[in-house]
Amino acid sequence: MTMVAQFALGSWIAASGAYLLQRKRPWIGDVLTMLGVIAGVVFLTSLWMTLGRPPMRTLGETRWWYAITVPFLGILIGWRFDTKILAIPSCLMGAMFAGINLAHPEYMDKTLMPALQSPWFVPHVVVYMVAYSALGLSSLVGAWVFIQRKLKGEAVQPEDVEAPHKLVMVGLPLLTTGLLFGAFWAKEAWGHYWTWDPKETWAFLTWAAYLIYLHVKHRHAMKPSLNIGLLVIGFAVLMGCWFGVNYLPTAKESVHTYTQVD
Amino acid sequence: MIAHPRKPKPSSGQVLEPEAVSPEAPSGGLNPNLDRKVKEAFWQGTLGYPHAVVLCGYLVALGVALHATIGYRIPPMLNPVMWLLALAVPGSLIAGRVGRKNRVIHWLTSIPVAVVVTSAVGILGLVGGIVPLQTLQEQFQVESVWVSWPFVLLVALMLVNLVGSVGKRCWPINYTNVVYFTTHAGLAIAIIGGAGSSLFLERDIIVLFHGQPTTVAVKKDNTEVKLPFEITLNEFVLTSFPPVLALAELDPKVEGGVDVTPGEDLLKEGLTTDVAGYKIKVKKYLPKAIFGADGWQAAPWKTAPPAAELAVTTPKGETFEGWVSCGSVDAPPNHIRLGETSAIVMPDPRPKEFRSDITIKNGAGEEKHTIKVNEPITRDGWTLYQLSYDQKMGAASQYSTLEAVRDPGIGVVYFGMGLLIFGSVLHLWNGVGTTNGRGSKK
Repeated sequence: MTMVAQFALGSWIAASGAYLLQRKRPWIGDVLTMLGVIAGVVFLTSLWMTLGRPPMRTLGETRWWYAITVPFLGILIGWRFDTKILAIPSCLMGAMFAGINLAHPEYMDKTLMPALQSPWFVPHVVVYMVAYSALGLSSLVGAWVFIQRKLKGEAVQPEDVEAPHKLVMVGLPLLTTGLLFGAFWAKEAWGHYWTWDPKETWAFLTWAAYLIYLHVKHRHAMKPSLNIGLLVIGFAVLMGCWFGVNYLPTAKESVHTYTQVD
Repeated sequence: MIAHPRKPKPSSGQVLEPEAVSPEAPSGGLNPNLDRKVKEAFWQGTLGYPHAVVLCGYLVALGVALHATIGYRIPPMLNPVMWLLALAVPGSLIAGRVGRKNRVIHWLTSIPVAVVVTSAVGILGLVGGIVPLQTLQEQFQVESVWVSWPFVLLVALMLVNLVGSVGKRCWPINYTNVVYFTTHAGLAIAIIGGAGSSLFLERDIIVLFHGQPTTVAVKKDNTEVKLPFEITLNEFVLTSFPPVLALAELDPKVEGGVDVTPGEDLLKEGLTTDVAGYKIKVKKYLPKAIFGADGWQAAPWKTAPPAAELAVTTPKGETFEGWVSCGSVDAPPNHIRLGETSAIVMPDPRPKEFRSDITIKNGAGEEKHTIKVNEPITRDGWTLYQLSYDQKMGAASQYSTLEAVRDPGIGVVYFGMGLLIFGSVLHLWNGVGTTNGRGSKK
C-alpha cells in the first residue's frame, strides 16, 4: 500500500504545480488534489484493515489523517467561498505530512489499549483532525499572504485575513466539539471529565489561543498583521499540543501519551 | 466574549491631565500629589487593555500574597471558590444587564478584559503544562497551578467577564445573540458546575479481593468512606493480545544494555514474518503453555504464558529452531539464541481487556455486574470504574482496584458542555453559511 500513499503525495505535488500554471480555471489541480485525497482514503482504509483497529493511535497515524484532510478542506472551503488562495498551501501541507510519514515509516502496533477501546475514540480523533487541518491551514495561508505582501513591499490588508478567518470559523467550533468529546470520554474511562493532565492542559491552551484570536479579530478587524500573528501563535500552541507535549518534562505525568511509539 | 465592536463611550469623569503625562513633568516619586493624580487619571480615563493587564496583575499579586500568608487549604464550606461563585455569578449577570451602560461594567464585560484574562490564565496554564508537579511542589511549595490562588482569582474574573457579557447580550433575541448566548453561557455554566462540584467531588479507591465483600472505599488521605452497598469480586479477568516477537541485541550504549526491536505481526500458527531482517516461521503457537518433561505443552490455566515454536533464518542464511515464551508465574521465559549477542525473544503481551465480575448487594437486593475500562456502572449515586490490578501478577492478580466517584454537579457541567457544543454548531453554520462567493446566503 506504500505505492498508494506515494501516489497521493505525487498527486498533491503535481496539483500544486498545476495550480501555479493554470490560474484562471484550475480544474487540473482540483482533479489531481481529489485523486490524491481518494488515494489517501484508500491507503487509510487499507491501514485500518491491516491493523485491525482505527489508525488513529500514533503520531504517524494521525499525520496521515492530517495529510488527507488538509487538501480536502482546501478544495471544499475553496469551493464554498469561491477562492483559490487555499489550493497551493493545502496541497503542499498535505504533501509535506505525507512525505514525513513516507520518509520515516512508523512501527505498526496492532494492539489497542483498553482505554482507547471506546465509541468516543473515532469521533474524537476525526473531529480533532479536521479542526487541526482547518486551523493549521489558516495559519499557513495567513503567513503565506503576509510574506507575499512583505516581499512586494506592501502593507497587509484586512481582506488578506478573510480566507484564514473562514478556516478558523470552521476549525474552532470543531476544536471545541473535539475537546468536549474528549471530556465526555474521559468521564467514561477515568471517572472525571477534566483533570488538568498535561495533554488536557495543552488542549486548553490551544483552544484559548484561538479564542483570543477570534476576540481580537472581532474587535480589531483592521489590524490584519496582528490577526495573522495570533494565528501563527495559535498554530505553534496547536503543534505543542499535538507533538510537543510528548517531549516535555510533564509528558510522563500524562495518561494521554498514546501517540508515543514505544 | 464577542461583544459588539463599538468602542466604550469616553468617560464622563476626570480626564487625563496634560501635565501628568508631559515629559517635562516626570513624577518619579518627587511629587506624591502628582503620582496620585496620574493613578486616578489612569483609572478614570477610557478603560481598555492596559487596565485589564493591571487588574490581572493585581489579582496575581493578591493570589501570591494569599498563598504566602494563609495558604490554600481551607475547609470546603469556607472555600472562597464557593463564595466567589455564589456572589459573582448572579451579581455579574444582573450587573451585566442592568449596568451595561456603566463604563466600569461595560469594560469588565468587554473583549479587552476577556482577551487579557484568557491570556493570563493561558500563561498560568503554560506553567502547569511545562513544569512537572513534583518541581512545583518541591521547589515552589505549590500543590499545583490549578489549586493556587492566582489561578482561582483569574478564573473568577473570567467568570465575571463571561457571565456579565451573557447578561449584556441576552436580549434582544436574534440569531447573533443566540449564538453568543449559547457559547458563552455554555462555557460559564460548565465552569460554574465544574468549580462548584469540585468542592463536593469524591474520588475514592476500592480494593477488592476475590470473594471478600466490602462496604468501604478509601479517600486520598487514607480515611475510609462507607458505601451504601456491599460489593464482592467474583472474578478478575485479564485477556491479552497475542504476543509479537522481537530481536534482542546486547548494546552497552542503550539504557539497560539490551536493544529490543519488536516485530509488527501478532503471533498465530503458520505465520511467516520478518523481525529486523530475520525471517521467522511460526511452526506452532500455544496461547497458554507450560514447560514440562516433554517440553512446551498446552495448559488450561489462565495464568499460563503463551509460547511458540519457531524456525528463524538470519540475514546470513543460518537457521535456528526452538521455543520462545515471555514466561509468567507458571513458567520461566525462554528465548532462541542467535549467537553471542542476539536472541529472538517474546515480550510480554499487551492487555486487551481487564474486567471485574462483581456482585453488589444493597437494600433492594443483589445484582451481578461486569465493570470494564470505559464501561463503568452507577449505583446509589456512586459510579464505579475499573482502575487497576496487580500488574506484576497479571491474569493471576488476586485483587482488582476500582474507583468510586460521586460527582453531584456533573449534570450542570454536562448541560453547560451540551450548550457549548450546540453553540459551536451554530458558530460553524454561521462560519460556512455566510459567504461572498458561490452559494451565498446574503
